[in-house]
Amino acid sequence: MHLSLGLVTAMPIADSVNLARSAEKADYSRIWLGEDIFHREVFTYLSILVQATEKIRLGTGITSPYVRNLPVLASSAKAVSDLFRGRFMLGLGVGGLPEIEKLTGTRPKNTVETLEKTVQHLREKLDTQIFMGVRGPKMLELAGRVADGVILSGPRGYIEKAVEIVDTASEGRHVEKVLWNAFYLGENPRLISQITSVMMDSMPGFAREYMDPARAEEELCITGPLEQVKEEIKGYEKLGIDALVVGPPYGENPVDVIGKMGVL
Amino acid sequence: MDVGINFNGDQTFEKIRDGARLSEELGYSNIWVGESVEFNHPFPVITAIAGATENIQLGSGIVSYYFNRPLHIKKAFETLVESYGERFTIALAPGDLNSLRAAGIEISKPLSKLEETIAELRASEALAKTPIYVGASGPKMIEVGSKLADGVLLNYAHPDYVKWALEHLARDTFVAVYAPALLTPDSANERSALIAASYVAAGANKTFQKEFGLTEFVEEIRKILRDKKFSELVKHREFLTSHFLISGDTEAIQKQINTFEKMGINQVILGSPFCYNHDAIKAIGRVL
Repeated sequence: MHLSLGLVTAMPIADSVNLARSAEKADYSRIWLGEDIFHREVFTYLSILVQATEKIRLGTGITSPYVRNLPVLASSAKAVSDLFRGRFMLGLGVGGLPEIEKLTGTRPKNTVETLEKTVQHLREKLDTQIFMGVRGPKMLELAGRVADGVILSGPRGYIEKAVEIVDTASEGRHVEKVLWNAFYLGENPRLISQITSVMMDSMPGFAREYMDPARAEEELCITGPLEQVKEEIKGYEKLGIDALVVGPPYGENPVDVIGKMGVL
Repeated sequence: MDVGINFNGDQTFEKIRDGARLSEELGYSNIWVGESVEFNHPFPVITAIAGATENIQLGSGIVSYYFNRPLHIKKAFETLVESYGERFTIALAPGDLNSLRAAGIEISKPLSKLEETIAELRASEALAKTPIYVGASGPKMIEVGSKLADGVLLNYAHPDYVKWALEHLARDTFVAVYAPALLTPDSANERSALIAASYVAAGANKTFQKEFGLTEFVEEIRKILRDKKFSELVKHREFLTSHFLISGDTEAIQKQINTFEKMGINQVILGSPFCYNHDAIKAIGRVL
């Protein structure tokens, strides 16, 4: 199981630079930067992070074709790909529907077709790995067909189903599975409960079918003391997950958490 | 007189960083990074230059407010200011109309769209000290740009054209002359310079064409570019060079810069392909 650091553009850059350096020191393999679309600009942010690190791979986790038009998405991805010299991965997805609607004034339409066309176009322009951060069955199938990897999020039963859909669609080609659920090393019941409630609100119906609402916190958050977290990770490994994202809210002291998780 | 330099995302990052460091060391006042669908996007390029230099003023020159959402322009510069401090400038323009049309982007009401974009940028507290300029060549854009923004970048290289453009300013403000430039002799970049000059000519505004009797000439240049028959530009070399390019040896370029200074211009920006040749950056840098 690889470890990746998860960051989001809502975080101050100085904090992210600090965490990125800690992750690199602890031999994490990657950093994924989630785009909160009303916060900092994701490609500028990534360009700052790449200059603050030496060798760790970095990617968008994710950005959406509904947020930028194709020429800007392609020239931005090409720019960071050149700047990163082989360290860049492009994570694509539809993104948060309410945020996109707020930005563009319309609900995203033809999402599977749009994402597929975007991947095709970018494959012609870029020589970089493309990951897809998606949830629904049609999207997972698309990721299995066209992506190099998939970033998954959701309850455990759903993750098992998602891995199965991706593997069936990929027809024997290995599509890497990255798990990015809420992560908190240690105990903080109040925070975990808040996060669970936010995650439940944005969860698509398809994922809900595979969870026990009474166990929502355990199903959606990787949390608890180190030994418990280790066991949980082993369980995900058995489901076919290749990489785990250590992302917000990390734990009481994020730099310590990154170091402690790094020795796993 | 300030002299700025333009780099675009059509060179390797190593070459851009080296050129940017050299420009800072030699006393160029500003670095301006342009946008084209064919090039690497300016935001990562600006970020890379910011990381490689200390305090030279740095910004877009220009970034299209049709290709890029005003929100992204704002967020990109806020992100830059957060990391590298108050050393950025934003120059906006509609962008290349042919590329916009090819991408299926609707171009309507460029002046109101400019106004909206500037309003969005002005609303940012983090950008309160970041100047906003408008890249302009048509009379209306010069007028509106000079009224709404902190200055205008005129896409002209000939003193007669600049004089005409200055008449359209709505108020006394920062004005830069921004044109393709070439320190001669430079056989390696001569062709690129001619093509860059021809693109400026092809983009000439109707009122400007009429004023200077250039309607047929512009039409012919547009046809050459449309057909990609660049070798045919040679027959217009002399006119393109004298009217749409800042070019010559060190002394000639210095003389052109001095002419603009006497006209009240605040900055001359040596546009691409000048940046390709680091010996040219050094030669002009030595006399700054």
